[in-house]
Amino acid sequence: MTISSDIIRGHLESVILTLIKEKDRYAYEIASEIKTRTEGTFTMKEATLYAMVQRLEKKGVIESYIGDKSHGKKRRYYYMTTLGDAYLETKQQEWYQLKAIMARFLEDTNESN
Amino acid sequence: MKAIDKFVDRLFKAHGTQNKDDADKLKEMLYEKVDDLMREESLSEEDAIERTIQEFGDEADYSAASLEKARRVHERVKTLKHYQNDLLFAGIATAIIAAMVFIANLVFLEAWFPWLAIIITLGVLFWPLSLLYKLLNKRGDRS
Repeated sequence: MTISSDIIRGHLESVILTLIKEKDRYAYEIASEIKTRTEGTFTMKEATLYAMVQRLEKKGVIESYIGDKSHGKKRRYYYMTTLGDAYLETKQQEWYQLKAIMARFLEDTNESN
Repeated sequence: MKAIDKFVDRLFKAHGTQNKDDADKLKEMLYEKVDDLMREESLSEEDAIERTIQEFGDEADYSAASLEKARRVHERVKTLKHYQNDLLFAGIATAIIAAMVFIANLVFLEAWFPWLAIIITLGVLFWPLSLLYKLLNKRGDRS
């Protein structure tokens, strides 16, 4: 089953930031990593991803530098700023709240059936 | 990589944005993907470029995520300009109506004080005033 991007849209920033927090990554690496980890059940449109990365950089949540890739050309790597850490933490709290609210409805429905 | 440059330039032109820094960074992201595809999937440069452009998705997706704010600002400026034009038109029309009513009052009614003209002018004044209220409200509304 593939996940509609509409459902996850509000949390795409969190997904990107979590991946960048793990390690410095370049834009296409983030797209590939999402595809790999979700085993193809969710493919983020690259146009959306690239635009979001640019927007996050403008917000000061991430910053970039030009780095080397082994056996490849140079890449623009993105890394988290202190503001980014705080921003991700807020997003995580939002997610936990949303998850708890949805669980009250959807999980209760399953149990009552 | 000329195809990538053309593609990105067309994308930015289509949405009326001239941010060179954003365009350059987007080109860089796409070059990186082309390079990855060539190295990791052994595609030719031509095939890698074609696939990169294909997989980029709809131009609207990029705009929706990136240019949304710019578009909202543009819409807001357009609306404010529209309200200003309405207000200007109402102001001029009110002035003309008031002048005509005052002349009519003085010439035809030959009254020493133009009561009728003042009452009518006050009534008509609500037209530009309501538009001024709308304009100020819209200016204050930043959302």
